[in-house]
Amino acid sequence: MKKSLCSRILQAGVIGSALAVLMLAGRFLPMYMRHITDAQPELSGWYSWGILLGWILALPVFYALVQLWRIFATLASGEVFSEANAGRFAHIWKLAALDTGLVALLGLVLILTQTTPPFLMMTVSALLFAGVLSWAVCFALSGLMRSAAMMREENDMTV
Amino acid sequence: MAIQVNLDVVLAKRKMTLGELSARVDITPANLSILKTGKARAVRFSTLDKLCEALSCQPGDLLEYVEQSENE
Repeated sequence: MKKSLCSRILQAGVIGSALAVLMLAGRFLPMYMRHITDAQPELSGWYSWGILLGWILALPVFYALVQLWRIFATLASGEVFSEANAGRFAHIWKLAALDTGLVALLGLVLILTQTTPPFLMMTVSALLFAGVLSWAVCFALSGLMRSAAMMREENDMTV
Repeated sequence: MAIQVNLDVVLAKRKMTLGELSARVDITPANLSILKTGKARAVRFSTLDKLCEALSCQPGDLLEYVEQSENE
């Protein structure tokens, strides 16, 4: 498969992911919060805060998708193994760590206040899993990309 | 860099062009040009081996250490 086609497919995937996150945060999150507050009326005061927290967690995801877009753009030009891309992966893992930390804090608050509706706890667990996975993968990719960039620089202009 | 590549000198002595050398050693003219113009950062032993065989010369004929003055 040509690099430019591969790059375009991956960038299309990024756009799809961005639209999915937009749909989740914009459309399904209010429905989800409504479901939570209907099931647990004592949480009705948390409706707006829940939506706000959802958007706060979504913003780093959008920024990460922008970084991925830039990484995939370098695929077409053959400049994938670079310090710049290593830096982009580093940004992504730091944001993933931040988001995971916020979700973990939310989970802790819910447990300490003994507010543990099963559906909400499942969501928190799933977000924690996704966050830790993203952090770990991007952390590893950042290190690997940096090593690859060093090797590439050493091999450039080697006859 | 203090290492000077004298590929053009050896080619002239052997009356060979860069294109002919490229065909003999199976290295692209672009890469040979990088070597010839002193832009190469490193040379593999395998490349040096092929060049010496094709040009019937020693590595010392191709590579020369030129001491850099402090002002450079």
